[in-house]
Amino acid sequence: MRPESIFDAAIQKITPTERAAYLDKACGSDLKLRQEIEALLQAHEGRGEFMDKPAVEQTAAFTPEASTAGFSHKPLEHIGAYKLREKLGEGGMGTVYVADQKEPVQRRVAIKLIKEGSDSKALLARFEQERQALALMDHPNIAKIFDAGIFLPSPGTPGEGPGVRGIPYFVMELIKGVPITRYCDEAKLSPKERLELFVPVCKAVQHAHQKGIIHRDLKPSNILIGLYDEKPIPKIIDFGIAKATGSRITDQSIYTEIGSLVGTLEYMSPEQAKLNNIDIDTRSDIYALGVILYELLTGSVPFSRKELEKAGLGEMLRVIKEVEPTKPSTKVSGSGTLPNIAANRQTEPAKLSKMMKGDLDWIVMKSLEKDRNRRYETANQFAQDIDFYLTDKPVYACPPSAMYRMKKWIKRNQTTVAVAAAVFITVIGGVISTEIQHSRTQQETSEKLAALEKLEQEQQKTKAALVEAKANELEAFRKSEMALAVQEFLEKDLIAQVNVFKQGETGRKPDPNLTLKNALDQASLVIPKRFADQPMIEASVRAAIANAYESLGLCVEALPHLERSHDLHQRYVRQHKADSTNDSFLFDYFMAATRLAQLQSNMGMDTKARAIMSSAVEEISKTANGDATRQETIRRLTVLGQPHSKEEVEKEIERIGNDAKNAFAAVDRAITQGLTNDKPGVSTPDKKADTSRNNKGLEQIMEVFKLILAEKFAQAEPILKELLEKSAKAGTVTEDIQSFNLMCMLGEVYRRQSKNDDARQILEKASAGLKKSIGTEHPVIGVCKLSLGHVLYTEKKFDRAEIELRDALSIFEKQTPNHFYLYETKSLLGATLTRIHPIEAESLLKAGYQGLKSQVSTLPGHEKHRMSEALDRLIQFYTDTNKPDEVKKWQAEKDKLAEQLKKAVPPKP
Amino acid sequence: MKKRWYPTAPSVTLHGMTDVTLILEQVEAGQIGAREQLFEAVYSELRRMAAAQMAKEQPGQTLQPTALVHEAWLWLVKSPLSASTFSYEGKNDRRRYFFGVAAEAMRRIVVENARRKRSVRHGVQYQRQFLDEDQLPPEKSNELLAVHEALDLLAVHDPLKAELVKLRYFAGFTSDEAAELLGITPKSAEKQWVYARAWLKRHLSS
Repeated sequence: MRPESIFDAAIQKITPTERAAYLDKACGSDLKLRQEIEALLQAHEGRGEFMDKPAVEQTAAFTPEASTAGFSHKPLEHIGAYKLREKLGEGGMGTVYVADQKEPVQRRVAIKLIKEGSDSKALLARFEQERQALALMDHPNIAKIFDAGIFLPSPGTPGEGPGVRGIPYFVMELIKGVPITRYCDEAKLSPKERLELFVPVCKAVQHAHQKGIIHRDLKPSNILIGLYDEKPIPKIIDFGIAKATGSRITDQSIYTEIGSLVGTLEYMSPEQAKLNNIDIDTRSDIYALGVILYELLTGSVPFSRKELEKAGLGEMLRVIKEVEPTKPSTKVSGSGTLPNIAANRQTEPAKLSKMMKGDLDWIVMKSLEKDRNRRYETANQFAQDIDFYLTDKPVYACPPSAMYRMKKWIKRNQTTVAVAAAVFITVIGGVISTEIQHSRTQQETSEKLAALEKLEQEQQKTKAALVEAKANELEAFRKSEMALAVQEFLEKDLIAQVNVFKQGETGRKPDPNLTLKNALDQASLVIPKRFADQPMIEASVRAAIANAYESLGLCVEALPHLERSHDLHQRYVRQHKADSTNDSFLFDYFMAATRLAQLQSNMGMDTKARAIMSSAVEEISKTANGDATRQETIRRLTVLGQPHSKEEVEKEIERIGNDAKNAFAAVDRAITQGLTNDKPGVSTPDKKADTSRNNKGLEQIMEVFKLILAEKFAQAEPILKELLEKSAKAGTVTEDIQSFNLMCMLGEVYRRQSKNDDARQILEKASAGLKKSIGTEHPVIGVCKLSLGHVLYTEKKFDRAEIELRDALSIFEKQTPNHFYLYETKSLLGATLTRIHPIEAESLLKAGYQGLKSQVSTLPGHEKHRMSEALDRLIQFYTDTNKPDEVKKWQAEKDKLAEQLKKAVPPKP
Repeated sequence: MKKRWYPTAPSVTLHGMTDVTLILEQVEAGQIGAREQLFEAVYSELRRMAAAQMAKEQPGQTLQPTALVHEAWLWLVKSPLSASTFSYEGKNDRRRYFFGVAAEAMRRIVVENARRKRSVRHGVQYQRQFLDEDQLPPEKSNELLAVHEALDLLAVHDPLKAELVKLRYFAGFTSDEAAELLGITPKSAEKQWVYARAWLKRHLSS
């Protein structure tokens, strides 16, 4: 066995005894081997920090002295007319000294000496190039060159024969300054001041670029800030590796190319990081400028040297070429030293990140694009964009991803929806207006732009309308063109877009969950601010938003808007009681209350709903012209299911029925009056026609209610059919939902007449339609599915009934957790499952009945029959499962209940 | 030997090391002294680059020898003369050979520097250099020189391990990089490193 293998194995043994045992075995009697191994092991154990780091990594192995040894043994004191003083530092190609010039002028300058191998033609060529390049440039922010030449230590020696060491040098402006990053931090410049300081740097680079010179090694230590008359002035130094572009490539310039890997890692552009790519142009400087700006703003470079060097060279270059840097705003917020960074910028951590979000992020990221074609084309453009930012003008840079998102978004939603939804948002919040603006600057000829144009026009219009509205006073907005415009726009332009029928015509599919909900959520946030002094407009807008939410089946989201809308109306009516000679104020209030109560009722909050309606009635009855609306209120109250007995309700309906014509005529009059009073220009006939049509519809619906309560289903049927026909023609979203409602009612009417086929067909249609138009969560769908389940159950199609009822159950559980529909559904589902799953069936049947029973006091009179039906199902279950004891028990319960109901409902006269 | 296709390019006067490709070809052709020529070229270029790089750094910062060696390699593959025959992913033998030479050159630079520092510390220039001196802990420069001396012994004993130490210790490659260059598995490289280190420690203390 080789010592190495024994050693390898031995260090795996952890305890000394283990190890000794192993060595005994492995070395046997070879004492020398054993000694050798033990010595190695001892060395291994005692290695400490021995060779734990590469030899040079932590040593300053390459101090300038090491390389300028050639100079140090015969130090130079004079270069021509220049007296050398202290050394400033070493650049890529030479040592820089401070020097005093004696003649023709006395001044202090910087002198750069090519340090080594001055007989090398390559260095001389590079020097020659640098000299020429610098001579071409004349810019206040670029260090000036005064003089250049080759110094021969022993004057008189002609030419540059073998053995002669000429020292090329040039003399330049002495910049007393510090690197730009250091200056900014030390002076604690705010981000804005940093940007202001950065702009002239870009302009100087632009100047050089125009002369065909690329810096290729821009970094903070090459951009010095000097104070001139107390004013910080940036100066770019060290165009040491500058290379002329275009025709100025001489055969010398090729040597620059092969000299070394140009650039400093952190500031190196992706194209510079490509191994075989010598195709570097002005845009590499733009990249470096971007890195510097990044550093100025965030306090660190996109990829730190440490990070880069942790990886091997290949990986290092890959990072530069491929990895997207973190956005400055993110970088700042993720930085552990944020408080420090912020303090250096005279701001607070939170503000710093926020400030960089948006424009600044985009500007920096644009300059750091991997693909140089996407960077700023010129340094000037870069500077200009920063200027734009500083003067609050829209910047040229735009996030590619945002544009991409916008396009995708439009594509996803198709033009109309996108336009409507986007306009909707912009009307209310202008939330995405910036994105649209930016997308415009892209100037792409895309078909989507047409949509955006249209969108912007709409935006303009609506903005104009809002401005107008602000100018008008309170009384003007109520029924003014603007209020109508907003509302009409919301109702017809936006919300109609999710209308399934209209969608169907154009073959488009709504994408409600994603976009519209998002649009609504965002819009909701800005309402309070947007309509701060316009309570009635806010109320209208909120009602519209609630409609939109509800049409997506989002009752919970709709509710607060309706509440707020109601409150605003109520407050308005209270405040304007004295001069409320106009019924339409009241009518609107009443409608708002009704809408709210309806939703609350749908969501099983009947007590609240009733309270809302009661206070509305009270409020309205206090006013002089409240008659008409009071009638309507009362009608609503009954429809909402007051716990009146069937007979009471019937009586009420009868009474209202008698007053109906008068009532609606009054409402009609009030509306017409309101319209003409407020805005003579508005064409009233349409509205009037609408109103009377609605009134006719309301009358008919009342009739249907009446008939259903009287269990005269056959008579209700034709009226419902007629209503349905009319509703389908109208085509607004609200009426679509209304027509699905009517379908459900009709289905129920069919069912009660045991017309199961008809019932099933219309309910299936309603269910499908509802699913398309308002999603799968709305309580109306639950009601529809409950009816359908009922039909299927009656037809003994248990498996299908189970599906519908389980759907209904999950909707009710989510949306209306305490509604009698939920318990009815449980009971029915239980009955459906009797044979399939008796255990679940029993618990469902019981829960259903108990739930209904718990609501006995609030259950509307005409719904109380559901209780006894549920009880019947329970009894049937125990009969079917042969449990006579239970049957007996629940039979008794039934008798008790019948007694109770009898008491509650006075016998018919 | 391949005929030069770039007739006007002067191979020596250009820049110490322009024609490394040419020299490499000579090495491959077995020409006597070619390796030494290559070494001198790489050595002088590394020194030049190191000095240039150090000069740009803030005081107190240290040099990354790996980056330097890589730069030398890039310099080589970027040379217009070699563009047609070389690429970074190019022939591994040639790469390995080059990096071996470069690591040796690095070793010499590091050792020379340590010696110079040491002599400076005890010599006449002490005062002048005083301020720069704190950057090199004496125990580290001692370690460096000791390893340098023992390494030749290891090279006789086990050339591969000596090569590994050169790459890792003197040229600052990572274990994996060195493994790749030497054509061994990372696991084996690590094992050999542990052994080599123990071996060196044992032999320099004896």
